[in-house]
Amino acid sequence: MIEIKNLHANIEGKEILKGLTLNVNAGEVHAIMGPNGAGKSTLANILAGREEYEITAGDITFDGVDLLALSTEERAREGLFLAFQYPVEIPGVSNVNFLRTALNEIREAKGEDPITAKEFMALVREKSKIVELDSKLASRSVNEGFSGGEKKRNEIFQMAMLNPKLAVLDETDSGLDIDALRIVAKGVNSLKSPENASIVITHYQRLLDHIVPDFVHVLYDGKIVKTGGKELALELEEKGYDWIKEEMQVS
Amino acid sequence: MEDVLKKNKLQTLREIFSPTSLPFSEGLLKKTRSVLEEKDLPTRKDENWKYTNLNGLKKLSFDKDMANEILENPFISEGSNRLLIKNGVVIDSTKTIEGVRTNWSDKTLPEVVGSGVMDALNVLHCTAAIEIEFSSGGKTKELELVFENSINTQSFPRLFIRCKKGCKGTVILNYQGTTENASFSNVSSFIDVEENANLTIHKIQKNGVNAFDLQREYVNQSANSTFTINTFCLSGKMTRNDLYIKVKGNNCETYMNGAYTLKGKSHCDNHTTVDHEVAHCYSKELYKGVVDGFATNVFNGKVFVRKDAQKINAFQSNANILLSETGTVNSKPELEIYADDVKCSHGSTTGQLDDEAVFYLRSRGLSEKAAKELLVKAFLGEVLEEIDHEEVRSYVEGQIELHFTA
Repeated sequence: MIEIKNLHANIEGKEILKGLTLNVNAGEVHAIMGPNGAGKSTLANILAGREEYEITAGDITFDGVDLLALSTEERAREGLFLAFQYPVEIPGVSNVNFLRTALNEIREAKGEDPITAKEFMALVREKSKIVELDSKLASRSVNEGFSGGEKKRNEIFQMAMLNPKLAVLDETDSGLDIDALRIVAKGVNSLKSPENASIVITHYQRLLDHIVPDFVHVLYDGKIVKTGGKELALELEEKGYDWIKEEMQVS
Repeated sequence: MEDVLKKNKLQTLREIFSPTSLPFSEGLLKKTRSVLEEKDLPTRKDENWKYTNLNGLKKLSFDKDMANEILENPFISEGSNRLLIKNGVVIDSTKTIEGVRTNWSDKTLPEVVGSGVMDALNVLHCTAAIEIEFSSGGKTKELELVFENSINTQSFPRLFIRCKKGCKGTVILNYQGTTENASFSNVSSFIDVEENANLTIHKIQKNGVNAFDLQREYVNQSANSTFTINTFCLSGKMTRNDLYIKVKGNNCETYMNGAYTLKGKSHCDNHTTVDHEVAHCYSKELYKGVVDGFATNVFNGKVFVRKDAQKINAFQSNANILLSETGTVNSKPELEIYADDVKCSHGSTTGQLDDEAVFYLRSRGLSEKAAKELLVKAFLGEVLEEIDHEEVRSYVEGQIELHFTA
C-alpha cells in the first residue's frame, strides 16, 4: 500500500528523518513507537503533505503513485487520512457541512456524483455511532469547545466518514482517559478491512492493547531501528527506550 | 486658459453633471450653491478623508447612449413592493405604492439637508427623490428599491424614509451595476425613526468594478425605537458610506452590521457615527470583511456618549482578514464618552486566515480555494447571522461564493 524508501527530511535546516524505510501492505496495522524527538510526528506530517518540511532524499509510493508529488488535498482524495495529534478548532464551520464538502470533493476527484443529502445524513448517523459521538456534536462547529476526548473521537468519526485506504493516527491516544481510549480504539478496529491499512503512532503501549498491531517499529533518531511483533511493544513498555539507544551506540 | 486655472477640482468635476430638474425651494438651492462656491473636494488633509482619495473622480466620463448590457433580474426580494431607479432616474413614476412618493410635480422637496460638499452636490444635481413612509394602517411593510446602473452615468438619489410612531418597516436599498460599469452614485438619505417604531434597512452595494458610490445616511431615533442597518459592500471601485445616527430618545436600540468582500483595486470606506444624546440606550456595531488583491478597506467607527447620557451600553467591533500581502486595512475605532455610568467597548482586529485550519481542511480533501472559502464564509457568518431577512441573507451568501469563483 505504501512504501517509504530511505526518507530524509529537514525542518528549518535541522535534519529530523535520516533514512527512514517502511512498507505497509493492505490489511495491516503498523505501530510506530519511539522516544520524544525521534521524528514520529514529522513522519505523520510529511505523509499528510505539510509544506514546512523539506525532503532531501528518498521517496514514498502510495498505491503506485508518487506521494511526494501530490498536494495535501490530492493525497486525501487518493485515500490518505491523518488523524491529528492536535485537531484544529474552526469556529463557524459546521462539522457536517465541512465533511459533506470534503466527501464531495473526494467523490468529484474520482468522477463520482455528489452524495445526496439523504444518503449523507444516513452516513453521519451510522458513522457517529461507531465512536459514540453525539449527533449534536456532528452539527456543531469543527472541534470548537470540544473536550480532548471529543476532539479525538471526532477525528475517528471523520475517518469513518471518509473511509480512507491508509489512516495515519498521530498520537491519537494522547490526552485520552481509559473510556475514550476504548471508544477510539473500537472505532479504529471496526474500520479495519483487508483493503485498508493503518499506521498508529504512539508513545505508550496502552493503545496497542486495544488496537492490536501486526508490526511494531521503533523510530529512533530519524530511522526505524527495530521491528517486531506486538510483543515488542510490551518489551518497550517494560524496559523503556534506553536499551535501544544503548544497542544503537554499540552497533 | 485663465478660466481653467481658476477652477478648482470640484468645479471642473461639476461640468459633466447635469443640473437637477427636481423642485427644490429657491432658498435651499441658493444656500447650497453658496456652500459649493467656497469649497473644493475633500482631500487627505481632511481627517474624515485621510485614507480615501477622491482624485479618481476626475477620470469619470459618462455615456450618452443606452446600454447594451442589462441586468436580468436585479431584485432580491420576492415582494410586490419594488421600485426601479435605472441610471439614476425613477422608472415609471406614475406607479403607486402606498406610502411611497416618487413624483414631485405638485410639491417641493423636503428642506432637510446634510453637511459637506457631497451632500451639496446631491442637491444641485439630484436625479431622483423618493419619499417612503411607514404609517399605521399602511399596507406597505417592506419595500425594495433597486438602483441599477447599466450605462456610465450620474445617479444622485435623495431618499426620505420615515417610520411613524409605533410602526414597523423594512427597506432594501439594492445598488446594482453592470460588471464594468463606471458610474458615479452620490446618495443622501434622511431617516426618521419615530417613537416606538422599528425600522430595518438592508443596503447592498454591488456596483460595477469601475463605479464610485458615495453615500450618506442621516438617522434620527426617537424614544423606544429600534433601528437596524445592514450594509454589504460587495463590489465597486470606490464605496464610501457615512452613517450618522443621532439617538435622541431614551430606551432606543441601534444595530449596525456590515460585511465587505474586496478584491482587485477596490476601495471601501465605512465611516459610522452613533451619537448617544440621552440615557438608557443600547447600540451594537459589527463590521467584518475580507480584503484580497490590492484592495483597501477603511473603517472608522465613532461612538459619542454625551454628558448625562447614563446607562448607555455601546459595543463596536471591526474585524478584517487580509487574503493577500498587498491588501490594506485602516481601522480606527473611536469612543468619546462624557458620561460616567456607561458600558462601552470597542475592538478592531486585522489578521490572516489560520494556516493550521486551512491545512486541516485540505488534509480532508478540500482544495485550498474551497478551504479558504469555507473559512471566509464562517468569518462573515457572524454578521450574516444577524440578518433576519431570508432573501437578503441568501443573496449575500451567494455573492460571497461568487466573489471566490469570479
